[in-house]
Amino acid sequence: MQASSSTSSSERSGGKALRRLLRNGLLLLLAVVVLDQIGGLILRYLYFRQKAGPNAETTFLFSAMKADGLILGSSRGRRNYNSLVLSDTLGFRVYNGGHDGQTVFYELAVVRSVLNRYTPRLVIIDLNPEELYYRELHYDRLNVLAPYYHDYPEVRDIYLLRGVRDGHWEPGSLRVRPAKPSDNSWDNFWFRLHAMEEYLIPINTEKIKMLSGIYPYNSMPLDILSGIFRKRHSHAGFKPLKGVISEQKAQELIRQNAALREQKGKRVDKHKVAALEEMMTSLKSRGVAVMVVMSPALAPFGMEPSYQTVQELCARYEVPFRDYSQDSIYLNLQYFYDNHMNLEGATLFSSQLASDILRRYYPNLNQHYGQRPD
Amino acid sequence: MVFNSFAFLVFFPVVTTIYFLLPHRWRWLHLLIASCVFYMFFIPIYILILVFTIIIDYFAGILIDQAQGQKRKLYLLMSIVANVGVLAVFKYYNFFIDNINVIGQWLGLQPDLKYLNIILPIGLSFHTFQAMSYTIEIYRGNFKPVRDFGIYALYVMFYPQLVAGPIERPQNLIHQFYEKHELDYDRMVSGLKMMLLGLFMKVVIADRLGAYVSNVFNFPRSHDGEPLTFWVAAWFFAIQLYCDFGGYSLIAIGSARVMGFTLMTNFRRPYLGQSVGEVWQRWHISLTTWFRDYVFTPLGGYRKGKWRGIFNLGVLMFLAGLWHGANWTYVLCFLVFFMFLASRLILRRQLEWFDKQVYAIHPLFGRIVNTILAFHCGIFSYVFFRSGSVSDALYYYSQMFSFSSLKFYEGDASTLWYGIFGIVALFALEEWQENYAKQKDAIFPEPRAVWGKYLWYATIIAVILTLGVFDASQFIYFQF
Repeated sequence: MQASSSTSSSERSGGKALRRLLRNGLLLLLAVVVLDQIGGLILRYLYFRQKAGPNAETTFLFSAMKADGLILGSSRGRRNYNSLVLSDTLGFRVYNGGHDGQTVFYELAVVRSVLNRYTPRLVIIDLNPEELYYRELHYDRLNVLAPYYHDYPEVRDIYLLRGVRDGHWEPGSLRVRPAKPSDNSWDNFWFRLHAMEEYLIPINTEKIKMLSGIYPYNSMPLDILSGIFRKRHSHAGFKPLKGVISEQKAQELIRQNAALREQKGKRVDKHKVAALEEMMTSLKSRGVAVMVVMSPALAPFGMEPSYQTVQELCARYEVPFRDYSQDSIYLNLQYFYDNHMNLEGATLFSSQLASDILRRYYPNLNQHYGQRPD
Repeated sequence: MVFNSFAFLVFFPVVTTIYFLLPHRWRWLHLLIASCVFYMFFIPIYILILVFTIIIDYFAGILIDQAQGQKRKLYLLMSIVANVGVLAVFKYYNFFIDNINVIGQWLGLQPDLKYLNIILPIGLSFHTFQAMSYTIEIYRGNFKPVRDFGIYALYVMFYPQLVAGPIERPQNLIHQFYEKHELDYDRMVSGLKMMLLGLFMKVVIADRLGAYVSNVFNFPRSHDGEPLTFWVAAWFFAIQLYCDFGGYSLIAIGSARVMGFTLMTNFRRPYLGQSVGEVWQRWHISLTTWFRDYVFTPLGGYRKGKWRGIFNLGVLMFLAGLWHGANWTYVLCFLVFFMFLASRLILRRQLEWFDKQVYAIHPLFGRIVNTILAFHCGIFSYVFFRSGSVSDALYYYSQMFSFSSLKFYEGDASTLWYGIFGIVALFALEEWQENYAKQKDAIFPEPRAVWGKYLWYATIIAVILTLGVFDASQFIYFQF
């Protein structure tokens, strides 16, 4: 009894406890590092063996896709453009590279990797009128680029924007200069909480997080597994929606959209503007026919600073811009699944877009590049 | 600063290491400075609010102790008015104006009173209530005021529990600042395990389920005709709320424990409670006991008969609802919960008969039935808690019981499955803690082999890295 109590009291002594803590802490850290790196290797192996799903689509876009025509955009890009219809009318293969929930950052990553491999004839960039506003969510969603961080250098600085957000940085640098709080930041309860963190620890934490093997595949295991076992059913990247929105849901969507438009504190995101500018200049410098399109939308958008910025950029870089978002021909519930078009709507719209491209914007598209077989 | 941030990952080990390196006489100052930094991660200027209440309550404590007769009450009243005044200005002013404007419009007037354009100071209700418990305990003669201003300031500002509790009592916490805490390996490890479980609850479960919950509760009319969606979102919100706040509390208690401090338990596996009363007793214990000790009991509790007891309970629940937020949805949430608690008192005999019947079939069956029923009592009240307005909540209820179709919004399928994985893992763990753990305060079951322990905890960390949500997330209770 005495022996046990003396052992216990000696264990409690600071020095011994500290040594024990350091030793066991280091062993645990070692176990975590080993498990993390092994887990990361397994996930990486499985990730790049996916045959279907959004991850497989991204890998395909970054490494193998060689279509002459390319559509870039978010879920609206993916659902509203029937690439098969566009291919038929334009006379060359068009691939739909839209990705749900993504924005110009992802599109820039695709453009960079495509231009590293080949020069397409036509790139259509689908934007919505609010695309260029700063939204935290759009930075969160850069996680889809994390698996490519190590193997695709062109993606790296785009992914690292996740740790920059509305701050300033020099690509390659670990330091991030936080944004100055603007007056309207007071409307956002959470703004200051994170802003202070950025002031006191002004580093790009994503750079450190990417040392982990598992972290790049965070939240992906189930998607990876389903991507491995599913079969690919691709309509050249186009993901058609079947069904028609009900009147009641349409009204609710329009109401929600109007509420979103009234949100305060919206500001144009300088990183998004830079991304769009880089897309336009790099594509134009390679002689690619570029076009910015706003596809039809059920809920009306407003003329806002984001919209005007898109217009200004298109004018500055001489990129054709066409807004179909409120074309009366599409203001019909029959063409919509939700705020995205259904197959019927997408087919109608794609057919009109293709003929507009050939008639008004790039009449010599085929002649200029010559007819190339699919 | 939030506990699941990179900043805290740096802050916590640095503060803890310096704490143990410093001589005992300087530790309080170190903790006070660290707590100020922790708080000032939000809006630095708001620390002045804390300074104001700390000064008031520090001197109020001394004056109450020295005074006799009615003067004691007067000083206590002054302290309470100052604390409640801060709450009234920062938290309830706009709510008050809102209601005046609405009532004015009903009466055909145009009051058009102006709102204050301010952000609610983080954790205001928590540290205000903690400060009030100090002067009340001195008034009751249960505690002698502290003369060290710094120690009192640290009592209000101690960083682990500063912004979201547990709401401590002076008898439990203040003496710990005078005690010298040696580096205790077992204590540190158990604190770290608590933090690990708290982090799991927060990032693997709460934040994961939050995505689904937000979609349904923020846009309920988009899910018209999908009753199952409304049920699933309500279940998920109940678990999100518990994992968000319970997870935060565990990290708070764990981080204090690492430095040798013992904070009170705030959640005791509430959803394993077998009656609505038991759920209430296991939920946010530091707040419910605060209201019990300072509101319910002084009103007479259950001592003056059943109906008076029910009335007192109603008062408690009304104030608890108001404490949560300046919105009638919170008050209604707690009043719905009150109805369940009150019906348990009114229908006591019938419920005892029901219990006997279900436990007679099989004890496990009785337990499962009662646990599910108690859980659903919580769900019905949480619909008000999460809804943006009373009309949204009523719409939500109508959809839950519309039984119009079996259509179901899946959202992001992986969100559903990761969330379900987290829920199953947590409830298996809680069941083990409650009924099978050999030690009362065990956090995780462990393999016996030493190497097995390393592998086990490394696996938990790897699971958090794989399935956790690491976007800029928020703690629901910070806003209260």
